[in-house]
Amino acid sequence: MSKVGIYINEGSLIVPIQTDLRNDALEQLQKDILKTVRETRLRGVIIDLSGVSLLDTYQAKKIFAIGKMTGLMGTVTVFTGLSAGIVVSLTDLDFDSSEVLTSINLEEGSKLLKSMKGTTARTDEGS
Amino acid sequence: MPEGKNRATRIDIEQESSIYKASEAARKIASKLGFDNIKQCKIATAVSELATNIHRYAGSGFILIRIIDIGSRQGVEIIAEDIGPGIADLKSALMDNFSTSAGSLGIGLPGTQRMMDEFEIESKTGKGTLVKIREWL
Repeated sequence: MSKVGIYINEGSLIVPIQTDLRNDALEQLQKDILKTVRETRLRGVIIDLSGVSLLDTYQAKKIFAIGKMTGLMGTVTVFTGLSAGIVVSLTDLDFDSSEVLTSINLEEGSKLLKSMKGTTARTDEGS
Repeated sequence: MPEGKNRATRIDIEQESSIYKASEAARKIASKLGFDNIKQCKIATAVSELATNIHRYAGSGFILIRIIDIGSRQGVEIIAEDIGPGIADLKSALMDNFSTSAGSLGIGLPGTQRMMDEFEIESKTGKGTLVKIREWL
């Protein structure tokens, strides 16, 4: 398991990232999220980055790739809580965020997921 | 005031965790000098990019951070140096979307250049690379 404590709330997987994540830790987190999404069949993931102090291009690429990956499983990922410093830096770095879904904070991210059709927990039976 | 009056902080880049150490040291110095939160983050991110380059391409090197005073201007200067393979084609390395390593974004160097007030790079194939960046208050 990764160092990040992930939990399920109101049908969404919540991933609060509080530390500086690098190579191995990021890959472990990717695996944990994909595994959980696959097992629980949740349709929404919120990755909260409000505790992250910086994202360089390498970290940004790895973290935002999780959104693309869960998307391939049919699960929407919203990234929340990016600081002003991070967004200014990523823009200066010309980071392509066109496929990244974001919200200002966890609460708004949760509202966004709920407003999107079919992003609450799957209700069909079977596993 | 002459340059070099201020002591430099040196962080050796030997393992992945050194990247974080270097960027946090830069943020602390930038904060002490009076840069706002956004500028602190930009400086720390630039250091993270440079330290990542050292770690990934050269294996080891160091980051030197110091406060600079020139006349009435104050700022922070960061030097990133390694004795790695060097960059054969500097012109291309400074172009967006160029990367010598598969899986890397290739936006690190030109991005760092855009992020900082001043950016200088020297590289010799087989000898290593030196990047100097400055941000003024």
